[in-house]
Amino acid sequence: MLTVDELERYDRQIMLREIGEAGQEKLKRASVFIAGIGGLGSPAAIYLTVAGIGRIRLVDHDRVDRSNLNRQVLHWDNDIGRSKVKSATEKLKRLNPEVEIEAIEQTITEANLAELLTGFDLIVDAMDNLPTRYLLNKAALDNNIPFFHGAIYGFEGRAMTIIPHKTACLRCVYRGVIPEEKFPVIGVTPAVIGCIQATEVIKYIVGIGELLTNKLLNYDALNMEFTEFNVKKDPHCEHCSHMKTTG
Amino acid sequence: MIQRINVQFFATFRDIFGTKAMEIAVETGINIGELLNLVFDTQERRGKIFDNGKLKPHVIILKNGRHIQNLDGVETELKEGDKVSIFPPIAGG
Repeated sequence: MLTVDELERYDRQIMLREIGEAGQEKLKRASVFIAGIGGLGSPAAIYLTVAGIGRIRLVDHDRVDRSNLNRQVLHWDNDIGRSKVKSATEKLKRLNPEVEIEAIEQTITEANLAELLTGFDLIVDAMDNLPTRYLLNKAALDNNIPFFHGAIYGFEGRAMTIIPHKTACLRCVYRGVIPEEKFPVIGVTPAVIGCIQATEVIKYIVGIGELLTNKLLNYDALNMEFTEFNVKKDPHCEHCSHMKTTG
Repeated sequence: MIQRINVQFFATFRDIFGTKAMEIAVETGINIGELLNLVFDTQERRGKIFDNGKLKPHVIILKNGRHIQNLDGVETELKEGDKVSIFPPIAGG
């Protein structure tokens, strides 16, 4: 049930026939796990918070560095040296006190991931490295949790939505690893991709529109081109090929 | 007979070639592996996608938007007007 304050706060989106009060209640009941609260995690968390997601868990082990500030918009100059999850939680709570925000300052590992995910309905992949993205993809499949992938490099970004048992997964597209190194990026690129991830999350929760499933979206900011690549479930995928496909 | 193939590069491959796309004229009957050997025309460039003559596992090659792993891999044949997209995973966040 929405409160009077919530009806007022979300009035403009409740006006949308696709959302309405019923959709807003679904958002309020949802719990979203955001892995990484940097360049992608910041815009994703901001827009999910203002949209009225009931519960958001932020997980990141990192501390704010001056070189983060060109893109990680939840962290400000006076946050340098502070825990990212604490810095982000503080702002998100001020943005929307109706949302329950949990800060977990931990490194995501194979050993702790299942426990970290307990009780969460969806995962936003806002990490900065492939090995952890693979861990999240596998955990999402194993625990039957929809997984919203996003990644960036320079002026390019990619996004893909994975629904376990139904669609191609991240591992159907990506194999192997690339060296973990300092990557170039301008803030507007993760801003766009993080917002696409948040949009997908909202659509999934409310049950509206078409999702970015079985598609890898490539955003080329330099040429302002969006390209969709069709992706099929790989019958030999080491993460999802053993799973029974439904729907 | 000559056929034209459109090759698109993404992310770090754009940095390597300094362009987002090129059109390449090749002999009819060429496959993806042969095309890659033509496009990646120096030892240094070949080192970015091949390891001991095999395509590195992280390199993604699509023919007309379809992953070659779902076609015939590097043996996938090409014809006039095909679009080949070459990209690495990106992982920044």
